[in-house]
Amino acid sequence: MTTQHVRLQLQFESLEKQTHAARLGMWLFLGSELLLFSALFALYASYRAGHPQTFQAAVHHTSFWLGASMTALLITSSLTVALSVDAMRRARPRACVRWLALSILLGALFLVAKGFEYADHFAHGIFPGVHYAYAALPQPGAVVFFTLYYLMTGLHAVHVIAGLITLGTVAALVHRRRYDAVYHTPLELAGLYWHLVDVVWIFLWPAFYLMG
Amino acid sequence: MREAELRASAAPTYVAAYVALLALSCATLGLSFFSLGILETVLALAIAALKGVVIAVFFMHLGEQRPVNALFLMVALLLVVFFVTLSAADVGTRADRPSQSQPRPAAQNAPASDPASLLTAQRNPTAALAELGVAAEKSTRRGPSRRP
Repeated sequence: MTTQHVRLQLQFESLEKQTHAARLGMWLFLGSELLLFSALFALYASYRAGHPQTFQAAVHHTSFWLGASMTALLITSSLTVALSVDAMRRARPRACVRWLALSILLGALFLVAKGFEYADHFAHGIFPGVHYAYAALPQPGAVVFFTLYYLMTGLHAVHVIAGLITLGTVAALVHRRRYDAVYHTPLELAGLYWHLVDVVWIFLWPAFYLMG
Repeated sequence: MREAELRASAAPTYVAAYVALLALSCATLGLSFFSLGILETVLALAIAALKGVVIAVFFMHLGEQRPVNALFLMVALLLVVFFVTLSAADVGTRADRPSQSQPRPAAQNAPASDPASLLTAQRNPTAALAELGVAAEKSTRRGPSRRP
């Protein structure tokens, strides 16, 4: 089976090995991203162990419905990304681009919701670190909670932005028929990155919105 | 390309996985309305882990790929579990861990200046001034922050 789109590199014996190497490299990168967030989750777990009641109280001061909506948005976007890869596998580039566009829209809506959330927090005087000025929860544990909240959801939002740029780039390349049913590895790798962004949120959500 | 176009769509599997993810999310939501203490944390983490497995196997095609990819993921996950649980266990089993964080009158204007002191938050408000004096010394020491 040949295709004009893929270039088998000199160092690989077959296309299957080349594709496997690309995927394994991506999984390695995803593992490193997991460890990046794990450092922050370890901070969260440690501070929560030190201030259990304050953390539980502070969880009630994040928006329950925005948190649930953002979770639904990201899980749906993971579905649409999976469907875009499925469409590409069945040689349907137009459907692939449409699913990717929908994924990007859902990711953008997630960022809009996060923006509203941050604005609401700022209006109440909830800022990170020494700028914290929330009268309803003055305890030092609450300051740590919200500083961690901004740090972890902010880092996650940066990853969402990077994921949207990646998906957008891949969508443009699919639209230009750069890939086909045999070779669409960059699309798969972009999808893997997006799914990781979703998985990280799945752990952020109970930590900051539910466990109160 | 003909055979690619005739390939069956995996969409039904994806939609089933999606429904499972939404159901597990609702379970986590429902769980948050009950106060079960440590059990709630364990269950919430277990449900989140299950959702992660569903995404990894069905959306990320972990089952279709070579097993070494799953091995990489599992090693990373193992390290994450070690890191998070051991860090929390360290702080959680310290003898001077307070059961309730009190607002500190002397420290309210600069609450987050010393992370080490926040991990072992002082309960005694009258010691706040003395503690602020000690805080500068604490942050330069490498040893345990507990006083003997």
